[in-house]
Amino acid sequence: MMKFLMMMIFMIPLCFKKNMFWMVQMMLFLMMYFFMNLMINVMYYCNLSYMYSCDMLSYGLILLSIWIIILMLMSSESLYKMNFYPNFFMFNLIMLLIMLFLTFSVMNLFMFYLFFESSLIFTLLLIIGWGYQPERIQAGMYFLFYTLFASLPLLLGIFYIFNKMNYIMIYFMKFFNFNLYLLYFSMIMAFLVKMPMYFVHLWLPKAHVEAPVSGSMILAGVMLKLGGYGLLRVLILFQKVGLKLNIIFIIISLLGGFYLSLKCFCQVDIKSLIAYSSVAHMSMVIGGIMTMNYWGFIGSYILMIGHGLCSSGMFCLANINYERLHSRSLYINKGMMSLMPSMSLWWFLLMSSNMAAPPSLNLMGEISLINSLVSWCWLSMFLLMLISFFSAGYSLYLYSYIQHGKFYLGIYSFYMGLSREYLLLMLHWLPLNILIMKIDYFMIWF
Amino acid sequence: MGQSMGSFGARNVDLYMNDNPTFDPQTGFSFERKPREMKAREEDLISARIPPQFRDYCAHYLLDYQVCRYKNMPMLYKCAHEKHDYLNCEHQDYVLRMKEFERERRLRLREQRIVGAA
Amino acid sequence: MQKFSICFISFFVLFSFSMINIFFFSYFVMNNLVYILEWELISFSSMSIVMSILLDWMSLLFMMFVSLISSVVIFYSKSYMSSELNLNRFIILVLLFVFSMILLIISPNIISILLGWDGLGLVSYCLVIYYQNIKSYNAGMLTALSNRVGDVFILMVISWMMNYGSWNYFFYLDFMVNDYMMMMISVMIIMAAMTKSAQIPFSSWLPAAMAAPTPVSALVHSSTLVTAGVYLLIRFNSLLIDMFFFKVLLLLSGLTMFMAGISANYEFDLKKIIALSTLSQLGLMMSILSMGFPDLAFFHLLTHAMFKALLFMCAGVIIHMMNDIQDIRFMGGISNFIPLTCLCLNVSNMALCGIPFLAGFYSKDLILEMVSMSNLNFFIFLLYYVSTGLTMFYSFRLTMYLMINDFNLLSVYNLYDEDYVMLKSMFTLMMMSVLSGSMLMWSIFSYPYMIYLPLNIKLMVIYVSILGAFLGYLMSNMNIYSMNKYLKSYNLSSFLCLMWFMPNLSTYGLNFYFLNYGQLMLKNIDMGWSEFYSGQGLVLILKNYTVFYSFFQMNNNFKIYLFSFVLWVCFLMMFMMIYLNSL
Repeated sequence: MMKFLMMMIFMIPLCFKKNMFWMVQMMLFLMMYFFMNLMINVMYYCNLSYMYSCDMLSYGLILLSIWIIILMLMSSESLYKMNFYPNFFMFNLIMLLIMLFLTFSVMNLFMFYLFFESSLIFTLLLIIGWGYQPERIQAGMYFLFYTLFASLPLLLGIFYIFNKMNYIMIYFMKFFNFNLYLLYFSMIMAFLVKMPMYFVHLWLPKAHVEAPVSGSMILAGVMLKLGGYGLLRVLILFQKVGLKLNIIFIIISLLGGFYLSLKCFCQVDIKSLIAYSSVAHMSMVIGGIMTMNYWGFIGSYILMIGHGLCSSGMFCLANINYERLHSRSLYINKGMMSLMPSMSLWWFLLMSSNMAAPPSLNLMGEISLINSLVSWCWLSMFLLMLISFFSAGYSLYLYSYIQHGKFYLGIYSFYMGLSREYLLLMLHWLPLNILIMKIDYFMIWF
Repeated sequence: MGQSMGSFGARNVDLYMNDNPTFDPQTGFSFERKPREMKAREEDLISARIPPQFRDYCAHYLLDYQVCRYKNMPMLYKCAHEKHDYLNCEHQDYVLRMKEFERERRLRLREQRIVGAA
Repeated sequence: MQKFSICFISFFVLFSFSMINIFFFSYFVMNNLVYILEWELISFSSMSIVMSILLDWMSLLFMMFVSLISSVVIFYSKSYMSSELNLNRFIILVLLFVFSMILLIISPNIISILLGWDGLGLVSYCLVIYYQNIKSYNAGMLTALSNRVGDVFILMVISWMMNYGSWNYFFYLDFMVNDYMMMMISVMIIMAAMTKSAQIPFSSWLPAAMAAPTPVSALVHSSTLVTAGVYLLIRFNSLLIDMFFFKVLLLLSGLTMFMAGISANYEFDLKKIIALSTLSQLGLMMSILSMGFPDLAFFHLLTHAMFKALLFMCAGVIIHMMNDIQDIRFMGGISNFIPLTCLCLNVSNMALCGIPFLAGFYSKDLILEMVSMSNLNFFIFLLYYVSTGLTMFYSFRLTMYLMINDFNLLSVYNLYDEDYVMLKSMFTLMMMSVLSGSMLMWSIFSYPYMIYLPLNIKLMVIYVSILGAFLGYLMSNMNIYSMNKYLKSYNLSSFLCLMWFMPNLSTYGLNFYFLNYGQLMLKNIDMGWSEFYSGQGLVLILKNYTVFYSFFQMNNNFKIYLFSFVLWVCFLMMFMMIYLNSL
């Protein structure tokens, strides 16, 4: 595992040379290939070295984060063309990748917290440095302070555990059993804010709308999954307390998912709609994890990976429209099927994956989550029916509004889809729909 | 529609479609009534895998029909005679059951009159 | 290269597939074989997700019909959609649709049914919104969301079926009939089938979906998509027989049959009449299924597919002739000009009404006779027979308007029939629509049904048909100046014409409440209280406190700052003296 860290650290000087934009991306592809060749045993932690290791959960999420960083570089070509500080952009991305890699691979809960917080810094730099509108300052403040405010109790909780137990390896968490309510709330809240859960989700639409496309991709793709990963690691400590108190979070998430799906219909900004749909998906993930079922954990993991690819792809599509029309509003982006019909195929494929159409990973995740939530309590069936139905509703609304009808006549001219853009979308869609063949890789890891 | 209208008059003697005859089969008949017998053999029915609801007293015609169908595939219209035989037998069986029902109804009415007079 | 266009290749592949299926079907039905091919995706927690293919005679026969109709429709659309720039996109969408339908047909497993079901819903959405106008947009949204309700029910069935340890319902349906959980599952399956097959609460999407191109209507809305619900219930039939909800389904489908028959009489749009006729026949299929005769429902499904697809294709030719006008008041006398198309139109109309010895007769007449032989109440009986009469009514009215009355469009016209591509496809279906009734009757019914009815009930079909035909003749003679009773009974007329106001139920009635609620949530919670308790509220608190505290700092009054310094120094001195004193 150290070899990957060293490779990333030595890519940093490469960012500052001239004309190295695509070289960095090729290096990252190479690193992805090396990482895929690691032998992974599905039951235990493997590839131990110093303080790093991988088990199935970390492996999938590190793969996802490397993949998304690669695709971020591919989608931000306009930065390179306009020479808008591409060196620092690449540096930012590489540092973010290092922090994410370290977050997912360390075995120590405190180091996990450290890198969890430091990935915030680089994302903040990305939002404020390369965003498009003046509102990005407030968005950055919201983003930073929501997460920081909720995660300081997490730090204290980690210190408490270390004080009591004298070791803090994640692998040994399953032998501990803390039945303290305050500890439970303090450790869970950080991840719930990150996920985000319904009432504390306000940072997400702001951050997504104001971020550049790469910021949105990494936020939707991986940063939300940090919360899920943390919950999956930390809930094992709180089994008894969790059984009593998880019901609160499940109810908030499920009802919240329903309200958020309704709110998606009222949005005028494409990115804001996709952001709200992210929160709705994540609400189901929280519901699944909190039930403490095996199906719930599995479903949340699969839905996290599927949603990472799908939402990131949709943000790329939104950016493709934005680069041509310079607006994210639904009133201007319409009738695109007459102008870019091949792109409308990709809109449809990613939209259908968003609403959990077969054979995408999202469908598998939703089936598993529905299984776990209905087997936890059959009354949740009604909320889940409403969430699934409305997710199809807003996905179709977004697709049909953007693609159909007459186009806005104020468009002067623009270029058709570039093959870089099609490659980008293909690289999002293909893992999403092909990985269902190898679904046992995602499902059997305890 | 047909069955419920036909058996409507039997409600007041508490007789319904699925009931079996309760009186002695020989009462009121001057000749000897034979019990019905299955002409098709049990092992034939099992080996032809006929579903249970079709293993009735007309099953021998059904077996002939199936054999004829299998032989004449795909020109199945050549089996019209065997099908007609089977349907005729089913018709006779249906009429017989209708008559049994009516007999049961009248015997019950008679029973009611006898009990009512006593 | 023109010879090997995508239309021709896909026609050839699908047609040969359907021929192959005929042979397999005849072998399978004789030997009563069932083959199941499985590929296990994953197996854990004692559940296994498998991808299975079920080959028994029912699925092979249905696949044969679906591929035959779709091959003929693709061949037809080569000429019908010849002016379309993006014909490749259209044909690929149709092929995807056929693929989803085949996936649905061959699955004994609720998860692969979901694959086919979801695929059908999405691809039919794409096909309905193919033309880019507002009506298509709305119709597509209505179609997709109505189908999505069914999808959601099937997702829930997946989670409830976890109770039984396997999603292969094919194996355990007969055994688990009396279970409470099976009751929940059966209710949800019936609701899903009702949304797909457009029964009473969900029937507004079918007439609206006529905004699709005609080949799509011929394939999708006559034979495949709408019959998917009926097929699902046929597969689940052993589960559903003694259940109460099944009797509710009988009532609802009978009402659908009746309502669609009445509404078709008020309609003047050609495709909507045919759509409502499809709806009526679907109600017939569902109702005979809920009486407990699944093979009769299957039989009617297949024969109906044939003649309805043919009817849609004839309608397509007529619409082309009329310069894309679909209103029947402009049409008339076309039997003088396009006799071959009228031949096909007549054959399919007569098959629809159940004229003896055409395809519809075998299925429809057998259904009505079995209905008369079984235990019903009078209302259902009335619904069946009156709907049969209404079928004749609107068919005869359509025939009168299209063929017998005068041509109303323009003074100078040229109606051109010799488009051999379209004619060949229509003739194929016409052959099948004449022969398939008899062929299927001999093949499917290994165990024949015995019918024994009094004379008048047997002739009741003929009575209602003659009555319906006579009323159709009278109705088609209406002019704008005739004594029109419609205006005197405006409320009743609009109720019957607008499909008993069900489109309102699916659109205006529900949309407003949910959207309004979403807006309310957005304004009050997201931009209201949540902000107040987190971001903006903190800003307010900080701002107010800063304003308060700046009073004590150098901003406003230097003297206050100096005096507070002096005060602190005094306090410090005091405490130090107390501390030093206590030592």
